[in-house]
Amino acid sequence: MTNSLLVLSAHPFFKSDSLLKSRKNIFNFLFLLIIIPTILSCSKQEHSRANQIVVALDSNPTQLDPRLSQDSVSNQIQSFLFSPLLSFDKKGKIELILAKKWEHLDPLSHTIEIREKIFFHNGKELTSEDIKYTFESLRDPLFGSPKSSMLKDLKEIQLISKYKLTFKLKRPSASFAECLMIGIVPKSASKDFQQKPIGTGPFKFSHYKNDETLELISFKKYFKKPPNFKKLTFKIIPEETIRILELESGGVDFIQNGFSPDILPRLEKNPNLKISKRLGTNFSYIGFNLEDPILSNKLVRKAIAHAINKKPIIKYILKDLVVPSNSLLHPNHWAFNPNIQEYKHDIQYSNELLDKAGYIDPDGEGPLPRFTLTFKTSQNELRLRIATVLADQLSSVGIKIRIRSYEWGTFFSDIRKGNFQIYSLTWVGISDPDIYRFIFHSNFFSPKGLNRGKYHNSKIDKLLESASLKQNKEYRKTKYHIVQKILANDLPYINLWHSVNVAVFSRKIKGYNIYQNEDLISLSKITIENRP
Amino acid sequence: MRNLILKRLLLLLPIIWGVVTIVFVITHIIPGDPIDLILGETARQSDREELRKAMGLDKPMHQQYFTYMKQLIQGDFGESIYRKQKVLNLIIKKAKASFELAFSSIIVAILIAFPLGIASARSPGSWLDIISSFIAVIGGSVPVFWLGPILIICFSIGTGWFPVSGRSGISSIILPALTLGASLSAVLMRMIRSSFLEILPQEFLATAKAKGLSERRIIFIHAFRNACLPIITILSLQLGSLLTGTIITETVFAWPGVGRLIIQSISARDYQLVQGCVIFIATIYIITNLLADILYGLLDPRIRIEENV
Amino acid sequence: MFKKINFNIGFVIILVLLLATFFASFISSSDPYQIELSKGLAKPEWGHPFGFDKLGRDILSRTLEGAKISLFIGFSVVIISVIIGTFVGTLAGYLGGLPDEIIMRITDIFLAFPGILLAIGLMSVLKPSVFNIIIALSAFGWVGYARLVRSQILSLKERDFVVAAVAQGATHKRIFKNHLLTNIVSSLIIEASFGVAGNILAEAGLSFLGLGIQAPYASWGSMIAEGRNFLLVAPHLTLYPGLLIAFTVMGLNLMGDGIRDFLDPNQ
Repeated sequence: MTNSLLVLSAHPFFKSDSLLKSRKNIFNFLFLLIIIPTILSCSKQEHSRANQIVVALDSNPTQLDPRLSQDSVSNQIQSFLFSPLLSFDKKGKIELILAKKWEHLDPLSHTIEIREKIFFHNGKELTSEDIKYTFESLRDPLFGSPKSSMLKDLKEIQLISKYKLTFKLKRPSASFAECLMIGIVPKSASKDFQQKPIGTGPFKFSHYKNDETLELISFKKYFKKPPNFKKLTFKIIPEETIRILELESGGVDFIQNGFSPDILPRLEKNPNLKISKRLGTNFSYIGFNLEDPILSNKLVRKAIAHAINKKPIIKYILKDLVVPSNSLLHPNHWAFNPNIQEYKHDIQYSNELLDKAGYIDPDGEGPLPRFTLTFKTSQNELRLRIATVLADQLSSVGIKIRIRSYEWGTFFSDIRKGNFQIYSLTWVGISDPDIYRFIFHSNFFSPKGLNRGKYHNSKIDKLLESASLKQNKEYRKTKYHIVQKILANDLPYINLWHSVNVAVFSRKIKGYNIYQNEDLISLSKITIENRP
Repeated sequence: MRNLILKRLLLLLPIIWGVVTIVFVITHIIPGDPIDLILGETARQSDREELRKAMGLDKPMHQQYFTYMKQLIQGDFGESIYRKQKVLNLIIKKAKASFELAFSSIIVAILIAFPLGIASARSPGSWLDIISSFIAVIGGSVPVFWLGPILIICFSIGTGWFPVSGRSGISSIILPALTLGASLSAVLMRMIRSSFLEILPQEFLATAKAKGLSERRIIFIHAFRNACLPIITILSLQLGSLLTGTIITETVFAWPGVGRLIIQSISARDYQLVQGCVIFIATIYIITNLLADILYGLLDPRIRIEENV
Repeated sequence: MFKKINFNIGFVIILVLLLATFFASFISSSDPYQIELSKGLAKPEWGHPFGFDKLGRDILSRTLEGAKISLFIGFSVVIISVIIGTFVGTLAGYLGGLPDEIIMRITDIFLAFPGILLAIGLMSVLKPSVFNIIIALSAFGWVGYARLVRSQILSLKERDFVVAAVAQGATHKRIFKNHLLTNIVSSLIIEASFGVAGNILAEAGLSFLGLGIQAPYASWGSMIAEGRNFLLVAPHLTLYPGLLIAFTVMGLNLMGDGIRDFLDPNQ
């Protein structure tokens, strides 16, 4: 006996008619079941959109708790729910939010006095105890906060009064102000705080359907002027084309970044949409592994810098939505050094440098390369496109580039382990230049710090250390100017560009200002003007 | 029959175990550290180690495996590292959405394939046949991530009949179901057409005619019945591509299902969530295959005859 | 008469495609890898009937170049899958009993396993290359054919002519060759013709997830995946590779129909 269950054949088989009839009926029934409700619900859900703004996001916010958020989407959302002591305004200047006064009388202490009568979404008043709780809970390693290392210079927090407290530091830290920009949570934050976040921001949490929508409702008791509209909804749409289609059809009112520059002309022609731009603080670059035998040679790196031609990439691919950069810092930054050497596109000079470095082209103009390098990148379409162009440009000086694009987790892991030769990435949210220390100081080799290329220069080390200890801006500026000069000569990175933030939104939104650091908080201050 | 079902259900466990083990090994071998992805780059080494210990990720792989297995046997599918929710709850929430999508696309496929397939089989070589075949080919050869946006452009933006994306009621499932069901309907249509073609000219038609039944009856009753067997086979065989298609369709239409959950959890190296999703999918597959086999048993008496032998 | 037409049309289509692929340089003088940024996403024009892709590369020449890779992947995976699948399926169906049980449960594990996970795993450990893509797709491709073959064998085993052959003392090999194989072939061909298309699309799916053919190389699948972000501004990027996939599938189907009708024992 065999288990011949699967019999695929066309054998005659007579059965009662009624079973067949019922099967046909089932089909008819299912057909009606689908069609009728569809017809009935044909008129699109015209929910009251007069009092609501819908924003399209490309991915889920991973954390709503401001102590845990790390990715930009989470950061953008939590700034609606939570207020920090200090923040950056749209031009990157520090402004006081919850704090009424911020004193920094000696290098080891910051004293904050907060406004009175600020309320959390649950009605309780904000006191200095909530602030202390926020920071102390943050430092517990088991809490799993990516921001805990930011506070390693913090010694203790002293409560002076209900509205006043002092942060005592272990050592002077020029960038401590950034720590004071973390959103404040109530000290009564419970175990399910993730699911029901409570803050002092202009919007309060309504509900979150993971992978679908996140809804916030305006908070009437906001300590500044509450929002002019009731609902702020975030719709999560992973596909770029779909986000654009939703924007064009009115299903979504607002998108910031996250689309390729090629779409912009089409959006500009749309009479219902408005476009807003501002240069951001992001910095895109090509990183070298300085322990690689080929790339440890400075002449090779310089040759690559000269072989690359940024102009056509910026013009045709990025549609001038970036500004070419010579430094980690964007041109408006207070510590930016405008007199840094540039690497002009010069194929001939590049060839000479490579010859001098000892890598002769084996067949002159022929197909054989001097050497081959692997260029690792993520799956971001724009980055991949640019990598392809760079590879093409470098082939004209006899360098063969193998492009390898990986899924993010794998890519990131390789970069952190130093398992690469060249890669390209973007530093986001650059504000205080102390970030230089984490990226270029020899104590911060990856995976400990951000020095992924294992760059080592003792002069840079000293400069960065002294610049991080003093508060004086002029003093720091001098140091960072020298740092930028040396880095431009050593070329651990090839500087590419700073991108422009672009927001596209429905004309009904009035008064939106793009922030330099991509923060969306300006949405809480807009007014809606519905056309009849 | 009942014995067979019982036996197959019992075999469910070792198969799932096999799948889970393989997945466990693969996810833990793939480069990428969830601690890195959670804490980011600037976290101190000591913080990293603490979190790693708290999550049990510092133990050697085989120890982690046994811990997981022990947990699994007790019915605990673990917790998502990122979302800080129970894996089982997350999957159940998303499963409903994925089922809606899969079910609707099968219905759409059947609704398209049957009329077209039967009509072409009745008049092979006619214009109807050629056009239907052409439609089937196009449907079967366009990628899901292309068809989706095209359908949206035609039926959503232009006309406003359906929402662009998201899950918001019956009208929002039509386009995703159409997208996912298109390629399935193509294969189905060809199968229906060819099995009807095989049957129509055969002997039993003559027998049936001899019995005095009208031609229409013959076609619809007998041929229909016989086509069901290969159709069920095809449907169960296409489950694999249905799953991949679901993942892509869910991403395109922002449909909140298990497909998207798997992709996100793999990216985030959310091990327990990945494993939970895989167990879920594997179970669905096996149960669906079992149902297909049972249906055969019901439809073809020859199987049941052989059972008793 | 009609069947012959079927086969002929299909054959002609495939032949034209193969010829075009091999003699691509005669059809289009453009270099498929030549980047010309100023022509990025440009519409079709004289000498470039398919237009330009996002880097200003001629799409016609890229499509022909991609044809080589896509067809190679499609056919290779199907051939490997059919061979493995037929072997396993025949073993299971013919032997029956315990071996059948074991084999079917193993195929169940393969079926139950989300191939996508294996694809991501494989592609991060191995270098993404054509060879590895073929391995990744074949690893799951064979299962469908195994089940198909097995079920055919099971039903055919009981048919009169097989029983008769066994009674006459024919060897296993003879039984298989003369009686079983010809009946299996027609179903296999139909499945295989869709299999080639399916694998070309599967590769597209892998490219969608970033695991397919790497830049700057092209396959039809990677071209469609690359072009999907530009559907609104430059639909020609996805249109032409998509059309070619459709024509390939159609040609293969028609050929498959023709062969099946030719082999149909009921004629």
